[in-house]
Amino acid sequence: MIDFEIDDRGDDLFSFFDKSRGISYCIKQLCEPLDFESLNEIKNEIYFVHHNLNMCNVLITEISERKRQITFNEFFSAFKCVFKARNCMDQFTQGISTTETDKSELFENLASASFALFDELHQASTLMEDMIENPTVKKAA
Amino acid sequence: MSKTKIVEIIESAKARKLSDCFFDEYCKIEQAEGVITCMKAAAINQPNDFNRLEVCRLESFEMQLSMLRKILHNLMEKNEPFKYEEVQEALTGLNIVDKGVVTVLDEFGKTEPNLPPLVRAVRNSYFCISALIFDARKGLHDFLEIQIEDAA
Repeated sequence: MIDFEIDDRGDDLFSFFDKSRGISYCIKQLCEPLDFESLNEIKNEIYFVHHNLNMCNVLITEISERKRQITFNEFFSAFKCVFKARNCMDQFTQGISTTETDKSELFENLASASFALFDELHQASTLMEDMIENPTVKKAA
Repeated sequence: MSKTKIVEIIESAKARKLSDCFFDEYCKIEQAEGVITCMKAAAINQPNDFNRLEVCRLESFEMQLSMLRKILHNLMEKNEPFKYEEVQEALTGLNIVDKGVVTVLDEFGKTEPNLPPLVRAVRNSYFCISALIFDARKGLHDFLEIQIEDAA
């Protein structure tokens, strides 16, 4: 069992996670009303990312609020969601640097926001990996 | 900052091309601008009094960041050493934006804990912008410290 009560990394995780959710929500809001074929890819990616982040939102909030003990399995499933979201944005941002066909202001802003989102997700998943590999050991009474 | 760290930064700066000097800072500001555009769209999509105010604030941040990005772009395109004042100008601009973002975040703090999803998303994105500006400020600040060290 991972003891988050004595692990301050939970706060940092919540911060990265919350920022990721904020950006993904705003990107979603920007794309939703627009009906351009060139935005289909980012729309799909962002729905996937947002869905995955929503799936582990309750658990990560609980970690930050220190409401209860979290089991390793619970934490690992949250990690999988964050990692999937991170990989999704990784693939998307790699595509941006290689294909420079669309250079509209809208697409440039979307690309910049996607890089920021990837950065936050990467930091969150790296931190979760560290929490799994190096869990805080509860000191013996 | 320790002496060793400064020497390390000077060495790495020397190894880089002059035009690469502010590339990281430029990217951070560009990312912040991108996030602000998305936040603006989110606020416009669901209009109410709060969002109208938010859109105005975001537009002002967007303009300031765009101006700062242009200053950095001009610096990057120069083929001569930077003047202290030129970098200081960009840093001062970033400090002003940072103060504005911190003030907005303070206001959000007062309305916690039950924020509606949109407001929460906008607030969380402001946190991200604050982090990006912090990184850009740190880069410029370190650069100026090296200049002072060199002059000494």
